[in-house]
Amino acid sequence: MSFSSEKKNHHSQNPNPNPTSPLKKRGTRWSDLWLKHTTKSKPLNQMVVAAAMQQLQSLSSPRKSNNNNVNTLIPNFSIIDQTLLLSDELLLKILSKLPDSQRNSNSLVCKRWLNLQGRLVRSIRILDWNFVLSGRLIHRFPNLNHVDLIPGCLILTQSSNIFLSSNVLNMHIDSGSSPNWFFCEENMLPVEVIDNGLSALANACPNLRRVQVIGASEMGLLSVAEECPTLQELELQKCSDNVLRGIAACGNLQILKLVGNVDGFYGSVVSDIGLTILAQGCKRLVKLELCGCEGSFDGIKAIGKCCQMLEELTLSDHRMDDGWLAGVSYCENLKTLRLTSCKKIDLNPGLEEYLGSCPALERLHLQKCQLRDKKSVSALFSVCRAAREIIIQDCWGLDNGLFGFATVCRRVKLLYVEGCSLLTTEGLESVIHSWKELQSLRVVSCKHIKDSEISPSLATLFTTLKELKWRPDTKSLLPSSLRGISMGKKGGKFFKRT
Amino acid sequence: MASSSSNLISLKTSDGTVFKVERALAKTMKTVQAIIEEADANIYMIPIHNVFSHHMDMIIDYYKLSVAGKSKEFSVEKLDNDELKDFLLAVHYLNMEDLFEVLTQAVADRLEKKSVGYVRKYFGIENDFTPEEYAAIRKKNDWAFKGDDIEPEEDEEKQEE
Repeated sequence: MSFSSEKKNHHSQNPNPNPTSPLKKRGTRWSDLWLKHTTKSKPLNQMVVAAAMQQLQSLSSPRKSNNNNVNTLIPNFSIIDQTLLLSDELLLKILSKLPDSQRNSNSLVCKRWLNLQGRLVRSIRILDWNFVLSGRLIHRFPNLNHVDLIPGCLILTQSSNIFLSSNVLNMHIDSGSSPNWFFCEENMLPVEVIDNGLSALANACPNLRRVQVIGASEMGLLSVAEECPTLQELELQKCSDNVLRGIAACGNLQILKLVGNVDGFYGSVVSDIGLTILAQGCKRLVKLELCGCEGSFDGIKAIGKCCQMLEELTLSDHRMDDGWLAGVSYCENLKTLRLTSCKKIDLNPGLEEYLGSCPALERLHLQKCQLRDKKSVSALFSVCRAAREIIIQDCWGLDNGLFGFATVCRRVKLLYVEGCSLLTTEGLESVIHSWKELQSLRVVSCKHIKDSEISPSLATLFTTLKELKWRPDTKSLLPSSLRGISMGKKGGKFFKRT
Repeated sequence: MASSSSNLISLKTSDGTVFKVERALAKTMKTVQAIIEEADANIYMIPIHNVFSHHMDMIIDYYKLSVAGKSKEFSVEKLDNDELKDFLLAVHYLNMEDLFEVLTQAVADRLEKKSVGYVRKYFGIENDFTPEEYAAIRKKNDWAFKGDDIEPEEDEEKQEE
């Protein structure tokens, strides 16, 4: 087909086209041109189709009556490209029903299929930044909703044998890396390049819903905000207060993850200034996750007061100033408060009467936190006293005394305790007895909770529960499928010390 | 069942056979419905191009099954690939939504997890990539993995039947 040869020439003549020119002609996308061409020639195709089908039919019906003479003619017709009979929409419908694993092989069938398959792709992870800058990304995949740019922003080193990972970021480094622990900063593309890529992407994909990027500046963010009004989910790594100035334009943003500081990778500061700008700009936020961010009571209070729809707040490895916990009570619609990997909660939360509490809170989730401090834990439970579900996983320092502060939460229906090695049955019991509405209890892998110490009253309470999962002596390192065959115990007898 | 002809529509397929179908069935064919609505008087016979009598038989079968609530029992397995394609085009021309969904799913099922070579053979598509382009795309499918595992390198000449 003539159009496909035009495309071929384009490829061979411009391996690295000027990044601005294909993007300025925003109205004519390659996919639009393709469609126009096929729809124009559709009547012609249909005529050809009708003629071809008549011939096919006249050949195939003799097949049914076993006419051997005609069989020699059939092979000629079998090489007609029958998908020309199918319009683009028909073929797209069929392609969309095929599994994702077949995507790569479908794109290799022919150029038209490459184009169509590309139109079905909605989500992509970029590994090569040139792919974005040169416009080839938009050419191949015009209908993107979700783009993860983070791997593309990091420069792959030549001999990347060492894989460095944290819970938010993974990258390869080589053994010649500098001794100060800021690996990411050295291996990242310059800010201008990242911004250019972001604006190229935004110009070409106005339907973007979800973007993840690292090291952008407010200019890049502004271009995304302006061109993509449907942007709902954003992850900004190496974020700072300045970058957040660009966020105010994303009016429809609902899910936001800001990563300021990751030990060993990079350090940037998100403080109250940034949080306040964020609060005033994105009033529709529903979920907010702050990793390694600084700030204090003022920032959290601003978010609480401005983002009325905020339902989920997650703080990961926070570096907030003491006293921030009281700000959480300003989040009137907050349903879930989650703290993960926090080295401290709030060493000086202030007086009990000024703490307040979150009226709509339903879930408190603590994971891998250090809970050693009395004031922090009591303030935390006090702010979350309306919680219905309390989940504590792998937290250090939670002993009976600290857990006792949880009696202030009167409405708890579900308690899930895992990996809290200082807690004993007695401590657990004294808290549970005060919770009249408890319906569901899960205790996993808490080594000081012993079955032998269950008192009769606790046992009676267990019978009233709707759900009980009692496995305190389980070693959680062993996957549950192996637990049943008690491998650890049986193997021991084969390896005796001699 | 009323004997008046207004309950039955006559459809003439491309090979000249005339089928009398109930109005309700004709209504599921949006193309036919549009022709009926445009005509002022009761139209005598509606010609439908691109549809042959064996297609019409299958359409009537499907209609009877779906009225009885057994549309899942309708199967196109006995059709070979070419016949399925023809049927799909006929149903697409007639613009029948439900049956069309069933047929596109049937084609997709036949193509599922098949190799590049098989798909080309199935549709009779010519490979219009030059060897360099082909290799470049093959290599570039590594620049972005979309969360799935990267496809294992497969021999494109391998036919999977």
